[in-house]
Amino acid sequence: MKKHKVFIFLVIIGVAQPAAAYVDPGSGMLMWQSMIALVGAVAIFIRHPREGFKKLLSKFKKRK
Amino acid sequence: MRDPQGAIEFTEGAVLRRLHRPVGRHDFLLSDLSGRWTADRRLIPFEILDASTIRSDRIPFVTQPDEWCDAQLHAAGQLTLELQQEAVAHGFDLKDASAWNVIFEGTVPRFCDLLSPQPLMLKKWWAAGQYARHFLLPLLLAKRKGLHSYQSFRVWRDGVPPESARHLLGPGRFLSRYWPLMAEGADGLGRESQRPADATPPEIIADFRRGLHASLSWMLKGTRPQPPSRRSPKGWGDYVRNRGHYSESELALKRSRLNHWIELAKPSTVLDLGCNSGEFSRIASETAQRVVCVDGDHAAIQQVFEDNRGSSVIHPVVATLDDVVGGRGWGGQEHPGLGERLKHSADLILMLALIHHLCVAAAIPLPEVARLAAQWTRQWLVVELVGPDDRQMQLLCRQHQRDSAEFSLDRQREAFVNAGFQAQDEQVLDTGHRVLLLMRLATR
Repeated sequence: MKKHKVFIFLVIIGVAQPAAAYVDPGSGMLMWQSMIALVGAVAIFIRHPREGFKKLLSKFKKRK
Repeated sequence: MRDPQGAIEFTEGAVLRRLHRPVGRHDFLLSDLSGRWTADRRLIPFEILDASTIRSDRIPFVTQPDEWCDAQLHAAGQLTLELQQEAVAHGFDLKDASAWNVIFEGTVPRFCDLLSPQPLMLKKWWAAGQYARHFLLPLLLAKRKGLHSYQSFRVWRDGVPPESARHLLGPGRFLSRYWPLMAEGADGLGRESQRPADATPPEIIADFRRGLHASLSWMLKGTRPQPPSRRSPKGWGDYVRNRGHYSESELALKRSRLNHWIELAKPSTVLDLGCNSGEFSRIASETAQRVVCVDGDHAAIQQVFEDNRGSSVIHPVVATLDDVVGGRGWGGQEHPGLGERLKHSADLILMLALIHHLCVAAAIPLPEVARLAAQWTRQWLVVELVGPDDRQMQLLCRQHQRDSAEFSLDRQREAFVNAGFQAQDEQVLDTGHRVLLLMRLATR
C-alpha cells in the first residue's frame, strides 16, 4: 500500500504542469520588485547621502 | 469594462460608471487628491450623481495605444507613474497601470480610470508587472529593436509579455537596467504572498515604494524616444523639406486657398488624412476645435506630437489608411476600431496629396476612396486631385506598373461626385497637374 502511494505521488509530481493560466499576470514582477526597489533606494541614497545617513541612524536608534 | 468594482455605460454625451459598492467617506473620489488631479486636468472631470453613479463627459474623439507614437506612450507612462507616486504619498495605490487607462485630449494625456486609486495596503505594487508590460517593455523594444509601441499593442492588447521581450532582446538585455523586468518569474509565474495590510508599517511601505518609483522612473527615462531631428528627420517627417515637385508659389497658393475655405466652412472637427508632419493640420487648428491628424508614418506622427505638445486641438493618430484596424478586445467591441470612431466624425476632411498613394501605391479603386471620404465627413471635403502628368503620379505608376492615364483628373472628380459630393470651388495649382477641390456632400 505504501509503495502504491509513493508511486501515485511520483506520477503526480512528474505529470503536473505549472498552472500558469491561473496566475494573474498582475502578480508579475512581485518576485523582482524588491530588487528593483533596492536599486531605487540606493540611487536615492547616493543622491541625498546626508538624508540617507540620518534616516539610517534614526532607524537604529528606534531599534534600541 | 473589465473593472470588477463597477460597470461602465456610454450614453450620447456622457460616460456613467455604476459602482457595485457605494462611494465611502474615505473613497478616493471624495478626497482632496482627486479634486487636485481634476483641477490640473490630469484626471478626467467627474460628478458623483449618487452614491453608486459617477458621471463624466464623453470625450468626442479618443485614440488608443495601438494608434500612438512612441512619444505618446512615453507621456502616458510618465503621467501614470507621476500619479502613482502622488497617490502613494496620500495613502492611495493605483490598482491598474494600463496604457488603456490614459486618453489623450489633443496631445495632453489624461488619466480616465476613476476607480483605480484604492487605499494603500500592500508593500509591493500589484500593478508593477502591468506597468512594465504596457509602458517600459514596448518603449524599450521601440528604442532597441525599432518595433514601435503601436505595433506591439496591435499584437498584444495587454502589453508586451516579458517572455516575448526576452526572445526579442536576447542576451543583450543583461547589459541593461531592464533585465529584471524580463527575468524568469517576471511573467506572473513567481508566486509570493504579500503580508496582510496591518502587518507592514506604513513607513516601511512608503520607503519601499520610494525606491521602486525611483527605479521605474529611471527605467522610463531611459526609454524616452529621441525627439525628431530637425537636420535629418526620418520617413515622411522629411517630406516638407523634400517636396521639390511643389514650387514656393504653388505652396503659398495652396495654403491661402485652404485658409479661405476653412474660414468659409467653419468646421468644428477636421480630419487630416495623410497629414505628414501636420503643416496643413496647423492651419486648420486655427479655426477648428479638434483636428485629427492621421498618417501611417510613425516618424511623421511623432513630429506632429512633438511640435504640438500641450495642444488640446491636434490629435495625432498612427494609422495606415489602406489597413485600418477594426474593433479590439472583448467581442471586438470593447475598443471600437478607428473606422467606426471616424464615421461621420468630421465637418471637413482634408485629403491633400494623398489620392495617388491610395489609388496607385495601395491599389484602392478610386470609387472606394471617394466612398470612404463620404462616410467619414459630415459635410465638407478638400481633396487634391493629382493628374496623370504629375511627376509623383508618374513615378508611382512606373513603380507599380500602372498606366497613369487611368487616373485622369476627370475620372477622379467623377468618383467623388458619384459618392455624393458636389464641387463648390476649385483651384488649379500653377503647374496645372494638380487641382485643389472644395466639395460638399449633397446627400446630408
